[in-house]
Amino acid sequence: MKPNILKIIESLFALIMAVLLLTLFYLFFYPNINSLAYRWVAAFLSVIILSNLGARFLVNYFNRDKL
Amino acid sequence: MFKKLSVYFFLYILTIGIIFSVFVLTPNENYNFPLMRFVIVSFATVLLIKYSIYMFISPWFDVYVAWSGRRRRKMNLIEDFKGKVSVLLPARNEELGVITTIRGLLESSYKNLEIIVIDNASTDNTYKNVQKFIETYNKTLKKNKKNIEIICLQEETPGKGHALNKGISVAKGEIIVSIDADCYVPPNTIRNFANHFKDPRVMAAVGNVKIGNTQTLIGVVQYLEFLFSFYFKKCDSILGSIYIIGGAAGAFRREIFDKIGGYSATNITEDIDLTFRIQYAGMKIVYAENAVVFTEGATTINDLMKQRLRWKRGRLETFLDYPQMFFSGHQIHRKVLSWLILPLAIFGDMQLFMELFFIIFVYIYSYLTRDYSSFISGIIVVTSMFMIQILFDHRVKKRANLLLLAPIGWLLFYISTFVEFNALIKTFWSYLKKEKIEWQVWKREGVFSKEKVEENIYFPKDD
Repeated sequence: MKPNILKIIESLFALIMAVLLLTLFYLFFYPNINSLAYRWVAAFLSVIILSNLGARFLVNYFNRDKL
Repeated sequence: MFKKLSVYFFLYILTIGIIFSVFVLTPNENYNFPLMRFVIVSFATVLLIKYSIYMFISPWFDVYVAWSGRRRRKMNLIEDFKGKVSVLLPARNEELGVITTIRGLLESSYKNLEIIVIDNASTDNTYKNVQKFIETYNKTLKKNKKNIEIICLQEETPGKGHALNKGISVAKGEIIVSIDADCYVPPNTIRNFANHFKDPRVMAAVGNVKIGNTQTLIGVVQYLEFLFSFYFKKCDSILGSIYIIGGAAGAFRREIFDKIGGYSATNITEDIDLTFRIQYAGMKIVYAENAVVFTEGATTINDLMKQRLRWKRGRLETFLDYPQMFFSGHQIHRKVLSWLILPLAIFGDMQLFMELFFIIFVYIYSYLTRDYSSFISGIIVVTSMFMIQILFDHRVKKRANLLLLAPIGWLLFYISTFVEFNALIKTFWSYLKKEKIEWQVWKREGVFSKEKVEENIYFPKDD
């Protein structure tokens, strides 16, 4: 595959991830969701995505003199 | 290549088909199965808690590494470790891979080095090939490589533990690095390993092992498995609970062998046994994420099953040898390891007994009750975990290729679950029958080259 196509696929997945995160927040706080599984999954994924994003931000911050 | 793509295509169709069928094929009556629901909820809850801990903590390892790196740069403590390093290469019938491994080590950026190859009762030309290579090296190349010394020993008693102990007995280095003879070692690996020992508290370090041969489906499954397990090693390192330093890449301060003895000659997973003894003695083990080593994974499902059988059996024997490590109140033992990680490892094996049937079980439950939430949630969780690891792993170069595998990741892991399940059953069976498990010798293909493996992995310039 050509590199630009790979970049597009990569960005697309990053976009899906962002949409997923927003959906999860919506699912987590939406009062009428009665499925326990969706609530659990929403909580689980929100926490780990935020943890990863926060960690990546700090890694870039500490490595700012190397970039 | 075509065969592999066809399998991916089939798995995609299967994933879409299964999800689609859950929504379309509804039963005539609306059943309710509280017991089934209870089993699914309890099983899934423990799994979610386990993965939440690992996936929440693991990324903070990189933060710690970046923070300590910045602190060292600020304090101008950027000098490399200077002590001598002995690299042990135990080799049994490794005529195809061992020279590649030695060549990789000779390109190492760390020069205060000696390479010790221990031929362990090989029936092929391993010893002859290495001797021939050493002769040529001594005549022509040695001066250019700043006198890195290569020694080749022979150990007639079969067993990796015997071979490694022989290597340790002649090693002159203050750091002992053990690497499998079928590996490719990038230039900075030894230096990165050695630098972890600048901290006097660090007694051992586990390297970052990657699968080098990803041409086959089995190779890809192992690559993804290793990606997951070494991502979780970051969490283990933060919690001080690493209990497996794999034989493919491990580094040890020499004094630990004086304190706790050498490798076990009886345990078939001498690496797990040694790591357990290090933890038992309360010594510090870290994960050297930047010490990357590429290994040749099993190329057939039968070889993979044999390897997993050895791992499982060895781990079981080690657990039974050190029951005092579980729920230990002793102050030198890491509480997280003793009270959480090891019980979770046992739970993981118990879960494996059911996991093979669990997906089918959840599917049937979803079909009968029209409650698709658990099934869909499972697929979402695995797919998302896959995507998160690939997107946030700074070493992955071809992210898009791997991300395309994310939606079928749960089915790829099903292959590995099948292999692990098979290994687990055979482990208990062989243990009950008191059968001896031999060190597996599979057909080496020497399938990866330096260029091939490095095109998939990103090495930062100052790494």
